[in-house]
Amino acid sequence: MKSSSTELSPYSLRRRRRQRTHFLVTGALIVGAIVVALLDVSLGHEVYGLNDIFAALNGSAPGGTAFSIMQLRMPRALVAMICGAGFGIAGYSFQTLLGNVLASPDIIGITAGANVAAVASITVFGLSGTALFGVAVGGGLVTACAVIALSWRNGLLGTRFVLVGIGVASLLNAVTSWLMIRADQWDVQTATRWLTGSLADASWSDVAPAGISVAVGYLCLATMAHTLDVLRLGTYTATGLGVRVNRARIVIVVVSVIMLSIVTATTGPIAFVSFLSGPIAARLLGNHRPSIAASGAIGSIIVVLADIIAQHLASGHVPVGVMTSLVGGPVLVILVAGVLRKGV
Amino acid sequence: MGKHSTRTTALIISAVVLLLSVCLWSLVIGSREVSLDEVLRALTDPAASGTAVESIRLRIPRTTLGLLVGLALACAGVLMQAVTRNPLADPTILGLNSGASCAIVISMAFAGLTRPSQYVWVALIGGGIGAVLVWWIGSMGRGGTSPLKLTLAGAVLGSMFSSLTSAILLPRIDVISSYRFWAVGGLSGARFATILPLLPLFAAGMILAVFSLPGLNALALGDDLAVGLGSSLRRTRFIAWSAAVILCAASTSLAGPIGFVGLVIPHVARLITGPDVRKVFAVSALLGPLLLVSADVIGRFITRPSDVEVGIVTAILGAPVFVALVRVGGKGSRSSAERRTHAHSVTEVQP
Amino acid sequence: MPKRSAETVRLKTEKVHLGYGDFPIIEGLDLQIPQGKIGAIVGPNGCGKSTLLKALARLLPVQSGSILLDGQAISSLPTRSVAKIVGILPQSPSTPESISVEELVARGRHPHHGMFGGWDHTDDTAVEEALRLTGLSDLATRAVDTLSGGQRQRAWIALSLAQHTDILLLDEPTTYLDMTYQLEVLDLLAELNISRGTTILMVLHDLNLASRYADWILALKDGGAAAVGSPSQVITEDFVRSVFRLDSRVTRDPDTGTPVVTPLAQHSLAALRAKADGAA
Repeated sequence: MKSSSTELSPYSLRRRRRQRTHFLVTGALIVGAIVVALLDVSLGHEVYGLNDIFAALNGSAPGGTAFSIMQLRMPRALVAMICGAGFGIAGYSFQTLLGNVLASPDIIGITAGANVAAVASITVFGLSGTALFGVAVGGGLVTACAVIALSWRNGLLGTRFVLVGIGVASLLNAVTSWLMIRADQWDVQTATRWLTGSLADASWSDVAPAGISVAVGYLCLATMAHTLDVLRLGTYTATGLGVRVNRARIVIVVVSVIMLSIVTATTGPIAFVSFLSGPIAARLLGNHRPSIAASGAIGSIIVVLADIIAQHLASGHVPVGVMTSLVGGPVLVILVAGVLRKGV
Repeated sequence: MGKHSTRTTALIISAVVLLLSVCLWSLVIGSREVSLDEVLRALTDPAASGTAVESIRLRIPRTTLGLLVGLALACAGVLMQAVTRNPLADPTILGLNSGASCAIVISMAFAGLTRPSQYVWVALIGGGIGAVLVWWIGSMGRGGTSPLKLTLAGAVLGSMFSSLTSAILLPRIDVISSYRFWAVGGLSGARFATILPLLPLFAAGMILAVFSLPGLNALALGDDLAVGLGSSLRRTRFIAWSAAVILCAASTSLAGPIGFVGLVIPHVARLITGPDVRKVFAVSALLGPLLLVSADVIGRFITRPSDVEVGIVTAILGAPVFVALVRVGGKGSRSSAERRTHAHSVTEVQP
Repeated sequence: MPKRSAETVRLKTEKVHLGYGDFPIIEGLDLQIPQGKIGAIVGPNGCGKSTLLKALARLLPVQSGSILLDGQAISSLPTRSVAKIVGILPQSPSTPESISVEELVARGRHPHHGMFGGWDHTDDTAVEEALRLTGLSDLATRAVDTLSGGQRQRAWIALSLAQHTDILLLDEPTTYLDMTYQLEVLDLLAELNISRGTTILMVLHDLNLASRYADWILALKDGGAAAVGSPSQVITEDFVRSVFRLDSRVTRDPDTGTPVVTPLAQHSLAALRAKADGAA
């Protein structure tokens, strides 16, 4: 059947071309994310050039420059990049796993769990810093476990998982509102800031846990990319193709939840990044290619760009989450309209 | 058949009795304990005075508001579930509450509106927009609307509106204070002065709702059959939807967004009366106020002398019921297209 | 050259009980699926045809008894290994939106890859061949959800073909298709059996199609096998009456020689009108 000549069939040519495009676009997005992050570092009260940045990294920059770059801007840009990637990747895996572009982890409970834990810590227990971080992560994880447990029926069924998640989220959000009422004026401000997602307190100590979790999360999910693709064909077809469906779903959910909880606890929930990264990446890559890396890159770009705008164009103290909210809402509707028109 | 209707009658009578007693309790419980005699005296003797009587007099509007809001939300829930043929529909889930909330916040922040009679109009617009957006997004793609898609669309829009709300609120400390109390959904601070102007809206909503009921029974059979039976789909939907939006906007302006009442009460009512939408509506009109006033009383009782807002209590009570409904329901993702053609075989849709 | 193996059996059931909770559907069924032949499962609604097929494909667990592939319990074998031997086309499979035909068919190569992907020229060949056999080469770049019902079904069959399995199970592959497409799909399956020697087992509703296209028929009723054998052996008037509660006439198709079931004359507009006229 296979001719011995090296001439490739039309199908083969198309497939290779698709793969090439995929690599190129993903590569371009990753480069774009780095470029935008560098831009974030360089812009500010003092505008630094690339040589300043390299000098600071080398240790050969003057004190003021080095401090500004290494202690203030670099950690902020890194946290923005890493957390953006985390939000994007988690969003993509949930949307693909549950087969629905609207099924972002934001609304199916995990974020609500982290929120209520964080607000409780701030307003009731007066926690901050690492303790706050830990509790918020715990909140996300516990909620995810609860939603999985409540929706389990011989396995993880997409529809039930989503609906139970929404129910649990409503409950937790109500508790959050109640806590906000009980809180005193000062705490309310802090809590509200946490709830909108902010990079103002980003520091080097945030980079490590977020960086590790996103890196590990990405590696796990990248190895499961093809499985994720097959899972979209439905439980029976996927099983017929040799996928251990329940095990795969659990692994994907657990990895995504851990990554998302850590990232949410680092910056607070930054609205819409999880939602939009996957669909935007799919549009750029032409659908149905595993686009985990691309989703992550887009998430990074969104958060870093929003941060740049929030810091420099707006009055300067606008949390990044506000920026993504203001722009993200309408963009979401437009995007979802376009994506959904093709069928969900 | 006879036994069935006797049981139903008994249940309804018990519900009425419960409602009356809960209302009485509502007058008794609070930051200041009063006795039943003092309540009766306050109710019957207009010349009565004293701190106890004052407390009671404050609770009367609160109880009344609870009755009104419970009525409105439960009936709106019945309407929405019927129009969308979605057992999981409720004003919160379908975007009315988030739209209304966001509109109210905008008006609080930028137009300085402070009284419910003012921002009820804003709430109406916001609620309407929210509902339209949710319906639009949820009906995209193959298969028209399905319970899952509508719920997701509602959750998406809810999240979007709430981020927008946070974004607007952040620099406005003044608005945050008034907003956060409103946002949790509560009956405290109820005054007849604020309630009365909105009574016509409640009435209008209920009248429209009752008009739409016969058409809704036909709708339940599916679009094709309903048209075949001579029902005007568009008119019924429009009337029912408008009634729901009006009732929700009125409730939300007075009491903030309260969830789960519209979701859960229709199901309980249906368990008692069966699927006839008119009966479900009537029973829901009874159970809704019962739930809401009870939730308020529980909220006040548990944390005497302060209280837990009614919106929290309904969420805490309602979320588990919602989850239970989802677990029992099963094929919540069946699309309206599938349901229309779901005639013969038990085609097992792949999970 | 198609490799006709001797009359071996790779997939079989032994006293298998299937059901949902307390609800038994199949009880104590012994079934051997002959290699290299086309089999059809028939029976009235709700008799468990789909349940049996799913269990054979290890999609459903057995309550007792066993389903054996090459002598081992199918549930104990690694699912990827099973996927290289048994392919399944479920009822109404869900197609992700805008996926192209060739991308869908390419998914069929999944069992042959390790964790890190690893696509090579054998995969390319398999996909191309699958597209060619199903006549979809010209439609390869079209989105599956823009195709007609018959074409879409062929695309899913192409996915199973690309999987390169020895055994292919199909759950109602022709239901919801109109007559032309039904025959298109069945012709394709027959060609597959002839050229590759693939063992095929499918659930069919239409007895006449089953007679035309199957080597052997299994009829299920009341949780067990009502009849097993060649179409001529199984499809008789007594059979139709006992399994489907239908009085019929079974004749031989003049061209193919296979049995044809025709309901009795009384079940027709002409007969009912005549009766009404007679009574008046």
